Amino acid sequence: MGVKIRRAGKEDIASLCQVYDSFVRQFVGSTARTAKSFSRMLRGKDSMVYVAVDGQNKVIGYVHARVNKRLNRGEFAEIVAEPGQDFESVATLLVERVNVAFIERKVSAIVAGSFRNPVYEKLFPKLGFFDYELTDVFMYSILNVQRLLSELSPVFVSRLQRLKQWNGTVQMECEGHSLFLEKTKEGVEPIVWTNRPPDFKASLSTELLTKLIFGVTEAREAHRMGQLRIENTNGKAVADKLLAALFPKRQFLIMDHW
Amino acid sequence: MVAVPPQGESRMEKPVEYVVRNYQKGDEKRMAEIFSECFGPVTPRRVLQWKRRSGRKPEEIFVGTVDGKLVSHVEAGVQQLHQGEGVFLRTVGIGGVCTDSDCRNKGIVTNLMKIALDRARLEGVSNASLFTDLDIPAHRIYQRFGFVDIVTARTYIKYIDYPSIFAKWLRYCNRLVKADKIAAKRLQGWEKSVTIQLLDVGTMSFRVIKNRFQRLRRPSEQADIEFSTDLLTYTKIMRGLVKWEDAVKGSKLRVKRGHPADIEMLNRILNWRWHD
Repeated sequence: MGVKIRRAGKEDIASLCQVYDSFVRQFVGSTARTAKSFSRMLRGKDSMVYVAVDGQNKVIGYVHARVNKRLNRGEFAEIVAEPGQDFESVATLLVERVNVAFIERKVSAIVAGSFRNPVYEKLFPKLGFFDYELTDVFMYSILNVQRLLSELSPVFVSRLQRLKQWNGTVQMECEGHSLFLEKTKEGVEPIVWTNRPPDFKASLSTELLTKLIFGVTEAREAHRMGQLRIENTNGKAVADKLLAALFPKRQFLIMDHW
Repeated sequence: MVAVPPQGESRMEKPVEYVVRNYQKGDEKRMAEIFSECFGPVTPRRVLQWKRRSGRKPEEIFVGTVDGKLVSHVEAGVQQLHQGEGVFLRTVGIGGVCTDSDCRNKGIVTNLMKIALDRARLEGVSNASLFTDLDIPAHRIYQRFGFVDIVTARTYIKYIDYPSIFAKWLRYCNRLVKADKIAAKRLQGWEKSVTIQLLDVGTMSFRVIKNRFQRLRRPSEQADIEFSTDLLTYTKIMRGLVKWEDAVKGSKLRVKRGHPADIEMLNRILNWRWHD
């Protein structure tokens, strides 16, 4: 593959932003980053940022780690790789490089935390790390259902656009608030309201909506359990297809604590 | 503004008159004291650094004061969270939720949370998010505000030099006990020695004397508490992931010596949990 690992510098900031953006698009829950946040990351006295570059010297991944002096331990903050790359092999090279740096700094322990990167489960146990579940939890609350549904409409529009061979009106109803989307041959459009019965209506609680948008509950399973009510004029197979399109199973991944 | 305590508070103690205001320059000293008690030792300088780095504005930081003394803190800054398909939505990131131990169970921090979330609603933010711990009373408060658990964290760890970590932990305990009024009170008069035999690591020993943790170079021959276990079980007990009694029942931990009351105190020290 010809991947090389080197220390990141200021000149890499634009590439770091670009790699991060394309990486987090595969997940839900990650926070937005700017050139300023990467610049701060590079400036950190105890922080180490290494990049993986391919044969054309293009940045295809990076690792951000730091030495926690108070606890004398090395901490992996984040490992990111271009979606087209084999994350595990890029990450292994990056982790091995940082491990060497940690040992040089004489740390007593090395820690990698995750909320939660699925590849960590494969990567770190192989490198001799043991793992355990923590009681630290990420919590989310909907403050204004109608506003959230409107804000989420571009997400649902994109997802419905990808659904082939179905046209009609979708209503998503959450505790008295609704989002209407109309899919035609020309495209998908949010509509404010209609008195025409929808072809597909999903009714759900705010709690279930929260869990579905973060991909921690499966929509079809929620339907089977009676938590998600469906009114549908097109049969079960179409309903399942619509549920899978609107609420795909996306891995939740967050790296920042604020 | 004088805050009105919200309705429906449970386990509330005698109400107290308090004022909610936004952060003012000079609050860092009291903030550091409360943060130290709730989250671990921190200096006013460090608080200022955090504030500067996070870019929080004064109006995003809410503090509760009793007789002019800062006793409670909540911050609520706007972040951008990815919700799929390249769409980032504004979310109010709640953080630094804490109250001085002398002013807990009076509804102060609950009201601060309510004010912070109401302000977010007024500013047109549709959702809020936070990081917390499943095992603390605040988790129930967040649930009452409609917060839903999304996912717990997982950690991966490799120990290189555990005896050095043990020594650091004892030093950290000394800093913690200085900041934590409840811990200091509970530990008063508890002067015992502890010997820990960790499989594949070795024997480590410490004692507590006048609320000070001291590492013993040579394990005490007649330690008040002596037990043996493996490193993973010990780590999990310290993180509150495995209960001491379950580890004993599952033969993962063997107590050689120790009065039940002393073992209970040792568990509080290991978990650093001082509330009943």
